[in-house]
Amino acid sequence: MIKLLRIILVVVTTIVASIILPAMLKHATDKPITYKFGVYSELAQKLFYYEYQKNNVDITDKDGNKYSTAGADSLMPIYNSRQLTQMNKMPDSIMGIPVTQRDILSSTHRINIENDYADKPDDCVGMLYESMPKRVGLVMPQDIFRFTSDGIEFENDETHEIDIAKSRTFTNALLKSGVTFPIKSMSGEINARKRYDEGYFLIDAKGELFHMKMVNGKPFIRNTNVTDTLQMARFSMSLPNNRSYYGIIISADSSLWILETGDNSYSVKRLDIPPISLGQDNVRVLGSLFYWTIFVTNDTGRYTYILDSKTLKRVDEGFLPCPEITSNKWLSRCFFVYTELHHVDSYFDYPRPKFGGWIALILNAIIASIYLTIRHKRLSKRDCIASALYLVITGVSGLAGLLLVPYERHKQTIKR
Amino acid sequence: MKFFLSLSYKEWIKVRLYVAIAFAIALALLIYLYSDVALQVRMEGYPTLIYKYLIGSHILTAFDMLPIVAGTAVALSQFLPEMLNKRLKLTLHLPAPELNIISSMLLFGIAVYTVIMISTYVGISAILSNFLPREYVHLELMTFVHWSIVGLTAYGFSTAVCIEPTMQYKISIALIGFATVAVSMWTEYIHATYIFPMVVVLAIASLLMSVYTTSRFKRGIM
Repeated sequence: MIKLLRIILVVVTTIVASIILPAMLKHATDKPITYKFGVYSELAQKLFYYEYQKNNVDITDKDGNKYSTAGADSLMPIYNSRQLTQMNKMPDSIMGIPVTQRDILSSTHRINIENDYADKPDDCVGMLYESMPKRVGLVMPQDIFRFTSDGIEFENDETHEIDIAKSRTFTNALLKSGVTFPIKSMSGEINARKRYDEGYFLIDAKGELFHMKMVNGKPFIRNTNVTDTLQMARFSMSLPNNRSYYGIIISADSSLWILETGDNSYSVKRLDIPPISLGQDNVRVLGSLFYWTIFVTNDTGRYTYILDSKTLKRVDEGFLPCPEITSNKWLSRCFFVYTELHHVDSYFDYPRPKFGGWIALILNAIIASIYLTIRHKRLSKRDCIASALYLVITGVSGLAGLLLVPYERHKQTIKR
Repeated sequence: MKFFLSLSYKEWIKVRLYVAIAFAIALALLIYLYSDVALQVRMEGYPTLIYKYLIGSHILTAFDMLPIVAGTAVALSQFLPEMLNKRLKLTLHLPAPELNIISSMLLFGIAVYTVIMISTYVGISAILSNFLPREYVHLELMTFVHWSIVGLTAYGFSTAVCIEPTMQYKISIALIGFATVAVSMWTEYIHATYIFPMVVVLAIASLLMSVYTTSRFKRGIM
């Protein structure tokens, strides 16, 4: 009984040590992973890389040719427009199209799809702004809404009373537009400082995408009908300055689509990049007047895709391998197995067993032999073999378990 | 049962002062929580307060150490006098199995600790329900439950440190205790539910540690 208790405590202590020791090692050795920044040159029609260092910047093209800052400025006028304008060198037209600073600013936008997105919980609670306020500024609503299993309810912020009339009007409007409850997920921009409001996009129980907003206090609900062309998995809303699209759709086959704004209708356009893997790829879209740059970053490295902003077809691409991660190198040297509580792939924390590296077995064997040299006299033959095997697998964490959990020698016990 | 009740009475005499202090701290924190939320409402209004929640703000941070402090205080008030006055050995020689005696003492401690935590839970729930939508009250309360289980871990390890007869292992159990509490408190607010099983297992292990050290103590290990 007592022996069993000790074994349980040793194992638990080992697990705790296998979480805390690698985390400390990671803390001590971690360095940031930096990639060169990919920029597409409108004039040279080629992908360039900016490598920002402490005091200077290295600019190379995809083939490895080096460029001076001044030379690169004029090759990439959109990216360097502020600098060129300040030096009075900004061209009036690029690729035969007249361009003003205002055009450049209004067409610049970005979308981030974080890699923990895949399992982030959605409690379907939000604030519905008035999309067409009487004055220019948006007014923060005095209520919140939540989706229930069979409708929507609006709750007053102060009294927590449900606004039955408003809830009924919206629920009826949703049902009339063909929404099937419960709502699976919703996406909207809640930031109070947004420039304009487009409400929320909802994925209903059937997987269809609906647009919901409030116009003049009345519900505006439309089926986007995108499921005619694709199967929905996720939607991520964004509000670009030029109001050209509503956001990015991740379809069931993991390809990315843009939901474009139209007159009273919605259309989708596929981004010409390979399907992403949700939960592993970190996707960043930087849009500008002529080209969109898409960075897909994962464990192997960073892919840069350049798409034509009109057709969203790929015009160029590049790949930068992931630089060696210092903390991973140390982890693989010191731990054969360890436990990780947090992983970048997931929104949730729970213990995940991880494999470090085979090379750590050498360290583990040394630890096991030192432990046996010190303790072999006090252990039975069977215990010797068991603890040696345990230490070879668990290494430093196992040693912490065996040393820290109270251990008794037979001589210590006073026989009654 | 009668045995448990009489043992509990003995325990109650030891812990009552510290339980009162723990309640006073909890009450002070609850008053602080109420005035803090009320202040935010007066300064910024309800919509801004709730908006902050929607973008991921939290309010219960002041309570994160309360369970750990309460758990440790209950454990120390129960077992430190026993060890300093060398009374635990006498208790363990009462005509009852040693496991029964120690588990009765632990159960009493856990019950007292649970009462403190449940009253704080009710207080937080009552205060926050006045101000926040139910989803966010629930999220805050789940976080508090998580912290409360970690407090139980602190209780178990503090007990084990008190009972453990040798100084060297007192230190090593304290080390394991610190590490375990640190690991359990790793995630504070991110939907604590996923980490619950691990936190519960660690809390049970901490109580097993006190049973283990009691058996060492009983067998007279020096």
